Amino acid sequence: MTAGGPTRAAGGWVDEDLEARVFRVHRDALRSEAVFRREMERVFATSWLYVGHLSELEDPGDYLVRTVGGRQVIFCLDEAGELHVWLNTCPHRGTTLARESRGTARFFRCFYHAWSFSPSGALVSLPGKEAYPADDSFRDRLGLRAVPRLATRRDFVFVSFATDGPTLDEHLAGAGEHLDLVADHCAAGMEVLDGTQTYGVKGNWKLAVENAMDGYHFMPTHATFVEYLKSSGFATSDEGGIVENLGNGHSVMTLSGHSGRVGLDWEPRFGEAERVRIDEVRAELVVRLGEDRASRIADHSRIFFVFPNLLMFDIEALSIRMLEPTSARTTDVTAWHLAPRSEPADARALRLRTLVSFIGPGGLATPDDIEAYEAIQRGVESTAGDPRPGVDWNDVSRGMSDEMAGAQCRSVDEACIRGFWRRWNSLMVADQATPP
Amino acid sequence: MTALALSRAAAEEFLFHEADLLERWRLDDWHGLFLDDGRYEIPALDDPGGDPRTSQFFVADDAELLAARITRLKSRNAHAENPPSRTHRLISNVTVTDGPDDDSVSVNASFIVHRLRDGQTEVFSGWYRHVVVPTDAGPRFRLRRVIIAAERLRQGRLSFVL
Repeated sequence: MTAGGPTRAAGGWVDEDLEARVFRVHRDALRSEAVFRREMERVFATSWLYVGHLSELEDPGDYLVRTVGGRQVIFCLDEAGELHVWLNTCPHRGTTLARESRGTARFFRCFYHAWSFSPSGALVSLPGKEAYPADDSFRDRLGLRAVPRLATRRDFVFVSFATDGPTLDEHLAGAGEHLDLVADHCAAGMEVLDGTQTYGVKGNWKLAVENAMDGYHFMPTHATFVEYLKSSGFATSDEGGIVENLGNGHSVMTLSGHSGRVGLDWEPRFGEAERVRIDEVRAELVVRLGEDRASRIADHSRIFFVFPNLLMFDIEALSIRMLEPTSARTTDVTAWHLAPRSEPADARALRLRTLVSFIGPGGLATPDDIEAYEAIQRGVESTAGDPRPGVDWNDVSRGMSDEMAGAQCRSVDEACIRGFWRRWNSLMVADQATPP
Repeated sequence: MTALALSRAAAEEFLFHEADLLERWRLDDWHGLFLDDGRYEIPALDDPGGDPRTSQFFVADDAELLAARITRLKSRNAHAENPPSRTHRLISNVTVTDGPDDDSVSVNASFIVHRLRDGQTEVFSGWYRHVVVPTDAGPRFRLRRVIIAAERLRQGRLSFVL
């Protein structure tokens, strides 16, 4: 494959040499606006995208405005409590309908010409209707426009802007079971808590995926966080961590050396009351789900990626992170804290305190991750257009021998980053007539 | 207690002194402005009045986490702040009212903080909603709460002290 330029050869942006055990990604994939436009069409407009958790909507008429795949949508319950995801645009002349980011609506009323729609999508008020055809078909045709497809998996809500394609369960492949494991933490279900972390990063969205599924960086990048954990009596190591590709670009990292899970796996820093409570929670898990599944849920921290926009951190506590690319060089990140519905107030407080110390723009660890992807974004400008072979490429070869031998891949290797890139690249080059 | 326990002038002097310490990255001296159980909080943008026991914050430091934050920021391995951000701080609209406790006052203010790093200048604006206790050694934070005025953080590293 030749290097450089927006006219990548038909192989796309990934160059894999199995014999030499070399896997490389061309840096245009992280930098080019042409690539960004193409991936919005070929990846985000075709895949299932995470949009929210059902617990975020409680009462009929509750709505949230979200941007997914570059499109603003209204995620809402109608007057009967049924879930909808509407495109946030008036069918008349295109105005955004919901203008607050959240609320409870009896109607969505367009301010421009005062057309009103019920949360179930019907055009219920049409001022000056005598100037329009009197038959119902006119009104029926101008109801709210839904996303082409909507599906849920255990309260995790996904949309697709493609009218056909694999079902959500087919798309999720092996990642579906990991969502199920999260949903099974609590018999009463899970809920998203108040307080949404919304922030922008100056880095390509794929760098955020690489970072989350990369155990190799943990010790060097998070040295100060590891020091804090040690000083608070908490042992952490990257020993024993494993990764698996779950199909369709999804992957999971299971961390056995990083224990301490609120409600599930006791650490001295959690205190005695939490020890007693954890015994009770675990006993309930075993009764409800059996020994094996209870152990899968409780014993190990897991980080998993659902291609292309959802990262789930099932670690000391639970964090849902959604990625929304806004340009080749910028990404909007939204992070929610997910918790068991039935939980004593002290345990809830411990959960929040434990995770916020790590995760998010003000945590003791995430800022160094953001620093890494922003530093990469600046760094890869240095080689743009360099004609010398191999210079304008990132290397993602770590642990390829194990992967090709079918051995268990370690979390400190790059196997699931490769799985992500393979899937991304296959969508980017599929049936391609002319490369960008 | 009455608001007279801390005059507006004294509250302003305290906040200006704090800003000077932060601009000069004198983190241990800044830490000295907190009571032993003092907290530093930045709530999420969509729940500015939230309680850190029930709401996800950006920063919810109790005394232990605040000490850990300062230890981290002084390390060469705090990559997000190595090199450290330079900041420029404007504080205005300072008011002093009765506090939530018998011995405290509420000190409210507006701020604009410019943060310079990586060849770029980011602007953070918002409100301070502090709980301050006048002591013999001077005013001290029981709660230092920062409400950011933004619909989305444009820059996702609150690794410096805002």
